[in-house]
Amino acid sequence: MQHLDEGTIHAWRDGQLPQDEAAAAEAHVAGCRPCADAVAEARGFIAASSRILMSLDDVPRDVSPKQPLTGAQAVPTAADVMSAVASAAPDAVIDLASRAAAARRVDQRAPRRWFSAPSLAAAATIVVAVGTFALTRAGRQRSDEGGGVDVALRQAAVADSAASTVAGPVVSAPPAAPPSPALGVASAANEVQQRAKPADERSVGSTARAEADQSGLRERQPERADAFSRKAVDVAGAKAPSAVAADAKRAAKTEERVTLADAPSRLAKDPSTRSFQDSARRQVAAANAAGVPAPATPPPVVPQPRPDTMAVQVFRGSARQSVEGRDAASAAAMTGTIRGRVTDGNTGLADASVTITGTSIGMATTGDGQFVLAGVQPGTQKLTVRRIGFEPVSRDVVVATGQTATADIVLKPATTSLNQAVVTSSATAQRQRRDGAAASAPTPRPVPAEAAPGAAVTAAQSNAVGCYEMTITPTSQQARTSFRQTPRRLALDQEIVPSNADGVWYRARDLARTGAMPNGLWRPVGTDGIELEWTYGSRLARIQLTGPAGQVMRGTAEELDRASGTGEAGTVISVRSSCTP
Amino acid sequence: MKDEDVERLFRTYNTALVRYLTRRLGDRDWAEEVAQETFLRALRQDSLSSERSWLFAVATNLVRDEARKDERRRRHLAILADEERAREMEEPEPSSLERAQDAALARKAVDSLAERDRLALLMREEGLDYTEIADALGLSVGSIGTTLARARRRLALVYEAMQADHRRGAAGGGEGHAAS
Repeated sequence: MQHLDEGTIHAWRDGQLPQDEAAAAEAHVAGCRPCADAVAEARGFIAASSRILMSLDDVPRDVSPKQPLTGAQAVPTAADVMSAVASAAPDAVIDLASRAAAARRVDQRAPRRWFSAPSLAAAATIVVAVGTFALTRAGRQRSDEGGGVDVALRQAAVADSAASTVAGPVVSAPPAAPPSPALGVASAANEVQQRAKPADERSVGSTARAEADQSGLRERQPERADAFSRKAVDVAGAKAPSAVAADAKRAAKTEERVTLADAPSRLAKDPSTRSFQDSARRQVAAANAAGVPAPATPPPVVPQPRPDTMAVQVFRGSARQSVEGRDAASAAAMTGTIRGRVTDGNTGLADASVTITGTSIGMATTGDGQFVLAGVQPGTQKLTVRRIGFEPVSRDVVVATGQTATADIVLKPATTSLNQAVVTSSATAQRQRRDGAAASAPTPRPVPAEAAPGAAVTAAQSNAVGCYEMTITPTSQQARTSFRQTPRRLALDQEIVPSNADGVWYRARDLARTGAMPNGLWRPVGTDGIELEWTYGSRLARIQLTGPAGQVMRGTAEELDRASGTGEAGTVISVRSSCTP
Repeated sequence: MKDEDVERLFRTYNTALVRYLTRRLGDRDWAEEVAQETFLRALRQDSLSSERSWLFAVATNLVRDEARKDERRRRHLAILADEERAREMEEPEPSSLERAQDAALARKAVDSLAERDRLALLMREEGLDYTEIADALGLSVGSIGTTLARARRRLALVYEAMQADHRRGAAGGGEGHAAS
């Protein structure tokens, strides 16, 4: 057989070859040393590419203008300036009215389309999902880290509403930036980015800070908020506050219309928004001068009853739903919450998986078995609880909007023991090492042989999810600093890494790095073992560990250097620890 | 499509799409806007045969239409932003600095790829299979392996070379600023 070309090797490693071709490739590689080397190299490239791309994920907002500068007039568009200013400072938040309206005005003449009327309505629809998702995610994350469930919920709500803004304070930042070359725009954008940090939900590290920002906003802007509220109600002709949150989508759409109708007059009256009008006008003029035709008719205004405590705000192109109430936690008012505790009848069961059927909502229980699922759609929901060693339980729970339903679940021990599973190890290159380290490299498979094929253990079923302190003792005396940089403190998460030909892998995070850029992968081997891959530069470390219930694990590590095809081996001891960095 | 179909699409694909676009654009907000516009366009479709490749193809075209106008400047801005971040973070802690420098190098390395190679690689990283990538980019399925092999090789090698340069620069320069 002809040697494998690089494209075929990648297709094979990506799991994209038809079965017969994959088998042929495997057979060929087994007997072809140069091809085996090429495969090892390809694996290194694949891993390195993923890692390099992952380092792009931690991107700050507003690092470059939203809108390509049009033609020769290097003038930021009004929409650019607005979005820049919107994020300029925590206390310079633009409410829906001024932003949507100004954007609307631009949109009538300029080619920008993000805020077109049908878009707004549809965006509001989509946003319901965003809000729900954000709440769930944040709540889950906190509790995974061992934080109190209450704190988790509260923080999720606070972070969400802090990010999506409270009532409508008005812009205080300077209007249109001067016409400037790229560098000017870049530095402006960076400045904006710096100032925006406190309001950025990804940067809001602590509940206290978010709350401080938020209460500050409230104190400074209560009158305006109330005035807006009242006014919006007047315009909408609201009759019945009792209609609260009956229909999230309709309410959201209604609010958009109300705001669009209301906004121009507010803009005109409020001196602090006038600069925007001006900049919008200038922009429109510029657009006209550039010969951009785009007449548009204003959207129909259809006043509908609406609750007077609700406002939907458009924020930087994406509408976000928030509830303008006294309590930040009421941001969850469109949905309900299920709270409860999973026990074996006596004590709480940690790490049980609690999910809502048909949704992506779910979490693992905390140390004493508590769980809280926020963002649950109202109605009867099916709650399913699973834990290794227990029979799964499903129960219907009735969820009311804005309410918290309680569901305490008692699990019975499983009568049949679960099949232990084998996860076959990836084809580790068994290379001869110059330093003789190969003698210690092979890792015995820890799992009994009778396991059913295909019964792979998921992260949720594994005991290994959590955080670890790792000690690596290299077996060679050579100083290979890169190998020793393999993280000493890491978290094994339940998030699945997409696109892995070797099957399902989960993210592993380095706790020593702030922000925890995930450049590791792990997967369970049985319920008490793991296989870990870590990439750094073009190197790859593979670590295989087993241990009782994920508390203390032992195993070996092997480093593979893509460039030389050599590596180093070491002994690893890993102790489960708290996830608090 | 109906609202609920698009909601389902959104739930299923938004995270991947935004990550893909963020990696492509270097700007999270812009990425979110493009993703949102993509879902809005899905709303106007009757039905989608291959959802994921349709979404990625539309998002890619939206970016291309806009970015064509000002690609060079925008890339420059993204690099500047990464470098700026590297400088900003110099004070607080070395690991942030390292991260920001990683990002700046990674951005340059990604930008060194040909557009088609880059898009194929970014889509693959979001789990699209070869058929979907071929659909989205208008390529033949048979060429995807080669495209990805070329993209990955170049990305890794360019990144490594820049990292080596950077280390040398940092060792000699004392201050350890991002290469500029």
